[in-house]
Amino acid sequence: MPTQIGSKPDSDIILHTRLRTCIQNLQVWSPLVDPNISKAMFESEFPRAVLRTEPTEVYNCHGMVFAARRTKIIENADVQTILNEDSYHEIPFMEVLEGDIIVYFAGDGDAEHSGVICRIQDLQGVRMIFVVSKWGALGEYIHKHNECPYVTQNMKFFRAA
Amino acid sequence: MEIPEKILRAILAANTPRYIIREFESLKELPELYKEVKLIDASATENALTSLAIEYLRIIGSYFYDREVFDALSKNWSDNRHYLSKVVSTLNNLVRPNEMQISINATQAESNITVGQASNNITVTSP
Repeated sequence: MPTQIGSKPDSDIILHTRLRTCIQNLQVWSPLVDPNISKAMFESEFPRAVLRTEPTEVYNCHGMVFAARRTKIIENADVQTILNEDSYHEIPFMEVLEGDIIVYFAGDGDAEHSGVICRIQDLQGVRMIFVVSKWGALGEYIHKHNECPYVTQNMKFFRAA
Repeated sequence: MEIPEKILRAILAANTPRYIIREFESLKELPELYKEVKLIDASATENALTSLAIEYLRIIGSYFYDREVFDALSKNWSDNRHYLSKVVSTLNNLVRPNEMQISINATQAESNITVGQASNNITVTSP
């Protein structure tokens, strides 16, 4: 079921890190586009990605990972602040476990995407990591960590202590 | 006008304003598209995504190619318009490429003068 609740002005909520630094956020309540057209555009390119939830603009990927799906976190600086102040530390690829998170960094350092590790498979010595993440204005997808619309050259895995 | 699919995808997939800006900036047709959208009334477009793409093109295109237009647009921008207001504020906080280049050159020039004076006018330049 779509989570949009009618159409009302954008809003925000009070959101802090563990160390009580305020995190800017944005809840967008009016749907952007026809969800079916949007889904079709990406699902043809990533046919193995499994749709988990319908599109919503109330939260984004960082809001899913760091704010329990309540709102969007869109400033790169805020993502960095959360990683620092919520005691996240980087995990090597071979030590990643379910529940860890992945952050996709662009060349300019922008944290353009994030997700939660939901499944790890070892197929004949090849480690495959599956992620649940929200793709922009679309829904949440379960996908291989390197099969999504975001840059996959600089992915980092983190675990909060 | 025909909006390239890359632009529509960028708007839909964006989790951060910089993602949209990067995707638009990497589009080689951006200068031509910007010329076209300057003449279009985005609100008259029936398709919501196309309308939004036109607004993004106008803002991001003007940032790169038409500073006066960008400044005028960004002053009047409402804070309550999806991502667009965040894109505008991100652009406002970015250093324009030309300004950054001028700043680097100025720093180099000052550095060269200082080094030259300190070493009896032997010019040392950065690689």
